[in-house]
Amino acid sequence: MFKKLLKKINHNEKIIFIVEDNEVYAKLLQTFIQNHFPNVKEIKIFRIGEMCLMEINRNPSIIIMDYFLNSKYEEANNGLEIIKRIKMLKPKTKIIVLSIQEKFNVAIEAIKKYDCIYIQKNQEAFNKVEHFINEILNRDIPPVFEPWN
Amino acid sequence: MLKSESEKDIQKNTIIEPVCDLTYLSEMTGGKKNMMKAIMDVFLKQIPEELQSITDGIAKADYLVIKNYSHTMKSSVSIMSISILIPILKEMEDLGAKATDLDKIKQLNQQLNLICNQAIREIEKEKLNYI
Repeated sequence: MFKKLLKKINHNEKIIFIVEDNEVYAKLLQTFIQNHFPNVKEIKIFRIGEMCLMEINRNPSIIIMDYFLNSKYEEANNGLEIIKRIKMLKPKTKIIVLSIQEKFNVAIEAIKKYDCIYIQKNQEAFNKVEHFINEILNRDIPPVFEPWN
Repeated sequence: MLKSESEKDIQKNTIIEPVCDLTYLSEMTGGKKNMMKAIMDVFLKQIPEELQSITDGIAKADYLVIKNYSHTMKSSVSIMSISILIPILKEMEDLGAKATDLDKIKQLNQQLNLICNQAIREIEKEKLNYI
């Protein structure tokens, strides 16, 4: 009970950023996270990584980003460049990278180097996102101290 | 090679069966009708823009635009489970990446437009149930 309450209080302060240039995909992901984590304070969508970097000082708990961020905005940096910059500014930020690409081995290696989680965009992707958000948010809960006997 | 019924239909410029399946959208939104409608609205706005960008890319033989928009459209159409489009978009993306065979890309783009237009009609009709 106490742990549940702590979890609720804890999630109330959390912010999640979504960096995705595909508006319909971003909107569905935002809706999905809102439904599954109603206590998260804010889930904000950015169309390009550079916009997300401008608000990085708000200390998002998790950033969920598409790897190919320059498909609609050619001038925008791709996912790896944004990951490097996020990790340079806020090394503890948890990043989940999404991509629809199947032949992605080289990029996966690069992503793992920066301690990111990679999820392939398919029909299972959102459930995996839910799993990792749960893991990350609950990991941040302070330990419950047992009373002395 | 034998062609599937769907492929034959596309070649005849007619599609009899529905191309969208909203089960995934319903599951991911928890079946909330207002949310489903909001996402349908974004889809209906976004798809014509993406189609136009690809058509413009073809007119200018801009393979990078063709590759990038074919890539991003895979995510858009997967939300409405328009699975018939995935191999078409993959082929367009591959040809765009190789910067080759504009005639084939044009042919695939015709199929893409035909199916997307049907998808738009289906979703517009479906949306009436969510008002």
